[in-house]
Amino acid sequence: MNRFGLPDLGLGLGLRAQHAREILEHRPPLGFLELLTENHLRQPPRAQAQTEALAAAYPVVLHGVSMNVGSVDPLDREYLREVRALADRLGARWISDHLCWTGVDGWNSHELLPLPYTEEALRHVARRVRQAQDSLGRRLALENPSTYLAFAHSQMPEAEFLARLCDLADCALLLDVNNVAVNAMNRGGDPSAYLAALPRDRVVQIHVAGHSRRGRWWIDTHAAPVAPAVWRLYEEALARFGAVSTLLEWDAAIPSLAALRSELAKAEPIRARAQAAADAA
Amino acid sequence: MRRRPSSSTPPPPLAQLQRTLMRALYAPRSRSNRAPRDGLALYRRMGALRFEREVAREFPRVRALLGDEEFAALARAFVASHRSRSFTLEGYADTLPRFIARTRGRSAAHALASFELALRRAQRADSKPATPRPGALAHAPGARVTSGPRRASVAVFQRDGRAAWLDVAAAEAPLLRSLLRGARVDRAVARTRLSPARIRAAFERWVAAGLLLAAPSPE
Repeated sequence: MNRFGLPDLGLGLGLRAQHAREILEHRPPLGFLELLTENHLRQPPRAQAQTEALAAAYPVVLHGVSMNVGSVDPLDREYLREVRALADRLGARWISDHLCWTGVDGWNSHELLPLPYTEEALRHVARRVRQAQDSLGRRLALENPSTYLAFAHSQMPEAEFLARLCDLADCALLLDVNNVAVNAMNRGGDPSAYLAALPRDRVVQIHVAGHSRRGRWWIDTHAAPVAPAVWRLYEEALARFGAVSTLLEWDAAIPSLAALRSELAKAEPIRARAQAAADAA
Repeated sequence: MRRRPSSSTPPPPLAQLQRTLMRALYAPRSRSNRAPRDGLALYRRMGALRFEREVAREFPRVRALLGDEEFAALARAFVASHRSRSFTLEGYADTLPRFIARTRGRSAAHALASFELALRRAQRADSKPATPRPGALAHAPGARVTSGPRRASVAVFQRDGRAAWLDVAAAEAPLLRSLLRGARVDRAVARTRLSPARIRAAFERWVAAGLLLAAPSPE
């Protein structure tokens, strides 16, 4: 169990517009829905009503890509106000975003850009996470990003940066096991050691997703089934962090809801094995 | 960013590293179809594709009109000259109609892009109609007159939470435009050259469609 008392919501799906009506009409058994924050901030009234109906039917969590928490630009207070209002309106169980920056000097690349893992960046991000948590009125969970370049100036590994950040900012973690695997495939590193370096009681959610090959790169496309190596890493993660709310991300070439649920169901026996192992211990 | 500095060298300030990377991401460079060789090239490619996909998402009718190849070239040119300053991509391509007018003239693509933009704005409009000024008429949320798919005038507005549109005769467009801008009915009517019978018929049509929320009271 995480130190924040945030519940294990079971297995969930990222809400995609084409599935919203089907979910509302058929109410499939899902532990929770993850809403991409920015898609729901300035919705037309009709879509807003649909989102509220979904939030009344399922536990929801918000997952954002625009907090820009690592940037040297000032935090966007208007954005934070809107996110807080959305979370309040939908009764979101928690809010997450990424350990990254998306732009500087007012420009937004809309890419999750990597940070240099330096002492300065650590202090900077910790200060901003605390400010964001104050503005949001709730704990923020930060996700480990997939990154395709690394700064030679980094002074510590990413997992150590995250662990120290958690202590300094008292924030939670959203562990994306696919990102851990993709980064290791692209740049080397030991995914198991990465998991072992993260604090046990900070992980409140896990993402699983598929990746794809583009030339020499493995890309976190969220457009394919979860790879066997990622499921294995997921099992390792559950062994370390216990039963954690788990979400399947699928953002491009989105299959039917039934196909998504079938892919998500692959997590069930893994969670059962992890639970049995924990009970035995 | 590639060479590992000696451990005694303090890292450059975070602000400097971020500005350097941002400049590198947006430096003008010819586009290649080859797979990106380094991480920077990959971010550049992914970023451009994200914006181009957004343009395509917002203007599906223009894409259908131009065809995939020509639309992709249009989207690439638009993205190359438009960066985002917003936390959301919603509305990123709102200036595409103006961009088309500037680069291709007032073509069918421009008219269609203006129409699609008006549809999306109507869809996004607050569903509560604004209170009209004294002497003006209440109208549907997000209502405006724009050029339509066939370059004729159309009124675009929100009805039952969805975007709707109605063809508007060229002669009637100025009257409707001034009503939607909040003009007093008596002044808007006084300025038009339409016959009283035609004005009455136009009002009936606009009210029946849900574009105007009430007809003017007879005097």
